[in-house]
Amino acid sequence: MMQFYQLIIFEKLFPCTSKKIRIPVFILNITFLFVEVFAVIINNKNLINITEWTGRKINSPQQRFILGLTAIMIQPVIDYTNRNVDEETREVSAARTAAKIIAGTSVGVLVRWACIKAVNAFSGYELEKEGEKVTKILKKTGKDIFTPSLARIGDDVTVKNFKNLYNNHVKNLGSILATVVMAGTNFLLDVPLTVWLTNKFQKFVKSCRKNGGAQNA
Amino acid sequence: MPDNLFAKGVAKSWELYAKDVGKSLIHWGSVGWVFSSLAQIFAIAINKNIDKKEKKFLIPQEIADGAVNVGLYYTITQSIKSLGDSLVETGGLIKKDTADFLSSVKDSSMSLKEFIKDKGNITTILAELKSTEKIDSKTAVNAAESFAGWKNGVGTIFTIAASVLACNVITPYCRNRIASVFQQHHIEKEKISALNKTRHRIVHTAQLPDVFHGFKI
Repeated sequence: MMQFYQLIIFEKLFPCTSKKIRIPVFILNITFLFVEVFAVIINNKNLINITEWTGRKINSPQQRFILGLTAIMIQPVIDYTNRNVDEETREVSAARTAAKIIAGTSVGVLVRWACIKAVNAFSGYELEKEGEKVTKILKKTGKDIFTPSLARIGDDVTVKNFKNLYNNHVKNLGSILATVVMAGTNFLLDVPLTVWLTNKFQKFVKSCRKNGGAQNA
Repeated sequence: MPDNLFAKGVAKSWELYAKDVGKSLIHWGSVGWVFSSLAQIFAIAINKNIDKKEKKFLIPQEIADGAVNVGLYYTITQSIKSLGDSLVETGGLIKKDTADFLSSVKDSSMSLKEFIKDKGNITTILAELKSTEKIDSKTAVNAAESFAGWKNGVGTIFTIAASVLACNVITPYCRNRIASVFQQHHIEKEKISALNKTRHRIVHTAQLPDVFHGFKI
């Protein structure tokens, strides 16, 4: 609570004149209020189920897809409306941005999905249990190289929540593997695909400009 | 116990990321963006169909894009996820089940927020309750698992929203401003160099007519 009052006093002494700073500071103030004072109690079962489902199911391939989908709607527009450069450069920049997003998203989602599948295939396990608690994870076969060997699994791992934790572990490990694989595929797949798509989009933009010019003449 | 580096890495991945999907998305997302940016810079450099003039804008733009992308992605997603975690841990954003459970174990003289603040955070309270005989241990374990699922879901949603904001709104705006500064600087450099070439040009004098030589004293 003290930190909140200190923030208000600070703002009175040093008022922010810029709107760009004022809006994030306002949002921070509201968030401090909820952290320090209020409690929002969520009773809506659908909202709770969706939130918990997101934590269980959404990982890096889905995140990459969401990023790509929102990027293709926003970034080329920002590049095309950039008044700091001439029109031709703007068009090339927007075409390249669209090509980069499509190439990056396709390769990114595919590589992450494939790596998670690969990790899943080599992470079989067996459990040692004491009642409801899981005490140890063991590899099912010798080829299960992605099964963690842990001296101590932790006190809060039960048979009930183990599956979710293990699914998270497999997906996270798949994402890490995908990051390493993408160090190579970025150059082997991303780059040629981006170059090919950029050239296609540039030709399209130039033909639109020519047709637009011919119509105006 | 893990006996080689790979096995240690797999075990570490379980410890760090099995319960916190958002953390994995932030860390390995940042590493992925580094590789992706390097690949895109390479793509522009080798593309023969982009003019030199356009490359002079696009390559600085891509370098700025990469640096700003990685820096902003990590900073913004980490900050917003931490904010989300704070909201959940301090009871600012809480499920009704968890709120009812905590209300049943707290002092009746205290409000829910005061009770949580007094003990630190909800995870601490639930860990304490598991080890005391105040309530049935199975109820405490169920409450802890329910809270962990909610916290993981909220963290993932905050991370994804923050990554969309960082990558698709803030980064394109910042990179265009930075890259156009690079281009303006480069254009001015070229103008100065062209002007210097003109100044240091060798001037050839016109040849005097023969009549002039006849009047020499």
